[in-house]
Amino acid sequence: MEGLIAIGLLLVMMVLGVPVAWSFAGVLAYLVSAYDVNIDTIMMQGYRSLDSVILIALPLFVLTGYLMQGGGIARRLVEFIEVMVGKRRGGMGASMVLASGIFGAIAGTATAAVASIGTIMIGPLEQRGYPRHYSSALLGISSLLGILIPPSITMILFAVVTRQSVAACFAASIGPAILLIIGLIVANRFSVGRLFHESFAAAADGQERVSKGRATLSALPALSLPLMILGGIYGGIFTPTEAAAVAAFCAMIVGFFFYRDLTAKGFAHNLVAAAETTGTVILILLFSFMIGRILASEGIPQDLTEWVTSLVSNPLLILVTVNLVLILAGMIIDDVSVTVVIAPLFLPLMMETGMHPVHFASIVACSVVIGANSPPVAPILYMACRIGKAEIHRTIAPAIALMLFVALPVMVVTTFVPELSLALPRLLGFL
Amino acid sequence: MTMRVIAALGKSAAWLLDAAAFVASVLVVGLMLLLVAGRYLFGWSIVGLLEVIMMCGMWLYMLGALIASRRKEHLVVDFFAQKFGDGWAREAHRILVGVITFAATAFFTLLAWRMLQWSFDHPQTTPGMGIPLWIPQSAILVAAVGSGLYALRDIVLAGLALSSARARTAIRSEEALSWKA
Amino acid sequence: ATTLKMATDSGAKGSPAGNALKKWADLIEQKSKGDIKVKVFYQNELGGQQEVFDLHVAGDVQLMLNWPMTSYDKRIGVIYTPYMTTSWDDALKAYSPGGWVNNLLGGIYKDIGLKFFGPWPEGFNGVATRGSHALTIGDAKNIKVRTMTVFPAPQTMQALGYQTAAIDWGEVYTAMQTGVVDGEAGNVIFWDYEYFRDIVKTYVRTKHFFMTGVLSMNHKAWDKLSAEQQKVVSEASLEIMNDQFKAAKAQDEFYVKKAVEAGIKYIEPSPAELAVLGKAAREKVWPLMEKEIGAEIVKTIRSNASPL
Ligand code: NA
Ligand code: NA
Repeated sequence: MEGLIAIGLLLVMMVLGVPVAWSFAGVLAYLVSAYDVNIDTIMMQGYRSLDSVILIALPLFVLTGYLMQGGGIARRLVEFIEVMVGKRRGGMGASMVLASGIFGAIAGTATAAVASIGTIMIGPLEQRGYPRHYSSALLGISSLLGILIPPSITMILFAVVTRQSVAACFAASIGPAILLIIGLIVANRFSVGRLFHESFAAAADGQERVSKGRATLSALPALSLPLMILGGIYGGIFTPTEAAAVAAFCAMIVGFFFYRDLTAKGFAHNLVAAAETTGTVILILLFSFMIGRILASEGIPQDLTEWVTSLVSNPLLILVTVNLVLILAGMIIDDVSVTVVIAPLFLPLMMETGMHPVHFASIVACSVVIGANSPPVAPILYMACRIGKAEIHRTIAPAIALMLFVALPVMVVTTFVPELSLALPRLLGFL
Repeated sequence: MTMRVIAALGKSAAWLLDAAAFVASVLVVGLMLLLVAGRYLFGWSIVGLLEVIMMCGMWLYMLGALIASRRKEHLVVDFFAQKFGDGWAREAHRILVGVITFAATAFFTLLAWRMLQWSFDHPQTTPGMGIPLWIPQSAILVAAVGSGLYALRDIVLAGLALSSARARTAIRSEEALSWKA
Repeated sequence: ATTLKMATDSGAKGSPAGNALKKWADLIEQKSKGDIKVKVFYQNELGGQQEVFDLHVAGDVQLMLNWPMTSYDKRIGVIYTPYMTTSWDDALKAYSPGGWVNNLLGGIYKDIGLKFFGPWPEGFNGVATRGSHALTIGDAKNIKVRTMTVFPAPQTMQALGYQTAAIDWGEVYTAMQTGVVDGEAGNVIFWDYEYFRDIVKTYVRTKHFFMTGVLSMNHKAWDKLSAEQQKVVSEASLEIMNDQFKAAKAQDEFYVKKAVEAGIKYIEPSPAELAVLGKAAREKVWPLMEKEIGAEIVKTIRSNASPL
């Protein structure tokens, strides 16, 4: 009962327009009064949870994203991919997907990709005949490759909350990411000529004629970043947290000295902006941690497990149910909350069906891809609209189509083919 | 006149916050690099360096949260709020949100305060450097109190806009008081 | 009826510590004939190690099987004095009720508001490595091990010749797996078998610490119990402690066997080799401990420690 009131309260406050972090604080206040909670120590518990060595990777990967944007790394990546695949049918849409993927191998979030790749590509895409609302929808979903491809903030949060190995969770969602890339490129190629006509006229002239060699050379420092980060983690040079610091440092060096797009003023600006973005996540996290602790000490996850298993006993149905819950939750609340509040509630249940926690991590990541783009609460899609200067109501249809025909099938395959998520961590020796 | 003083004070506070967040970021990145470099280049294992990083990290988190409050960048689900347009309904709605936010920050402040009290009654230190726990913990209290003040600012601005015939002036002063630059 | 919350910071359901916790709860419920209800929380269910200990000190978790944390009182670090006791007989004598370590711990626990029932001994710890291993200080030079983040764990391993990295328990697996460290130096073989058996190749029983958990109760919660209830809780706790004193050695040997079956090479250094290690650690670390936990306590240690 208290649980239902808490969910109701959360929804009411969020719909009223109270910032998500403060809505969670409100729910916390309710739970503190409803249950016998010691107010001398509840914040202490929140503090201990934030005081995590793994979590320090969060501000660092956020910062890396900002420095990539400010340091011109994104632009070189886009130019590189453009000259490689841009000339084929649907090539420019595919370029955006691939650029988001490579960008995602350096950045830990989706927002950085939306902002930088969107700013660079949506104009040229329109010249090529891609409608803005279509490109914005494609951008919204492609940008989420940033959380499927390591490093990933979603995976860091999931690992912190459920105490799994970050490196194993990182490796788990690479398979689904590749599937998503293929799916998006195929769907884009299918859309070209059916939803709109691609024109190559504008592309032939002007400054777009960069040679393959020059584009590759100029992208080399940017392309070496993912190798350094992932190679460092999986090659035993540093922990994921340390890798985050190295990534930020390398992005800074590349921005300052190779591309020289980064200025001292821009650097300071990026640092403060990154701190702010981290701050928006951290309060949600802090209150969620405390709520989670109260729920755990009241035995709610166990009750929930019993309740669901009393309704459905077939493991396959349980999987479907949890998938549905994740998607529905993703529609109405933000991705951080889904990852740190909803997902851990269902972890005991999933483990009872015999699922590996790292496999579940990968499913949660897939659900975030959908959740972040599904209205009404679709922060990434809205951001893509803002960057792409597209109208939200026109963007929703292509976005839903891409999710229905690409992202959702990827999530289903990820759920029912454990090997897709577990093969790589196993190969790397994590399981 | 008072308005001008508040605006100036707020501007200094904003500068201070940004500067502190900048320093905290640089420290977290720099010390973490030192940790890695120390281990690889010199074979050091610096006892307690991680504790300093974590302390700076906590301040970074909370300063970031406070900056987000100042710039009104905390994630909002605004599909309902957008329907209010520019009239008095919008300002009334903002007062309501401001009041709820303020109440939430008051509760946040209470919890943070009680945590610090507990830490003074039961002093704890980190194992390596002996850093007292209240140093990182007070960052949380700072964020709580500061966010409360920014919530008050939002209520007052919406109230002014509601009472003012010339809403545009109010909106301009609001720009000034978000201390964004 | 009174409801008590019971937790452990280390020990999942079904592990030796987890089983002890369950039995402790059952005993209290049985002996009180239902007058006391006990809710059990295993490792991580209420949060991390430090967090659950906070709850214990605050009285939100009334009963706990904890692995001592030094944040509230550095003197608790006395338990991590290297080479303080070197044989099972000496260790058990020192840690039993009336023994000198037992008395010392009881006083310190009381000062942070906890009622100390007794230790829950696990045995001597060692160094688990994935590559080469060392029996001498010289051989340890090229081995980098993870240590616990309590004083003086890193200092002790450095005295034994190792390079150290104090890495949070949550990242140990990744760090070992990826080669950030070559091994883990802080635990009895159970933990290395349970968590790292697919990575670890060798376990050398260096015996630098005698590892033990502690059975304790929040003192305020204790004072609130009736005399009858206090008797029940106290008796149940002593029974759990006594069980473990009898079982610890066998339990440890059981996991040595399991580890060997899983392909881990198990090595016990000779008494002569151990004496060299012990002397080095005592020479380098004990003076540091004088500064941190007080000359008085170290004096007690010096006069009671096992001969090398
Ligand atoms: Na990523
Ligand atoms: Na959504």
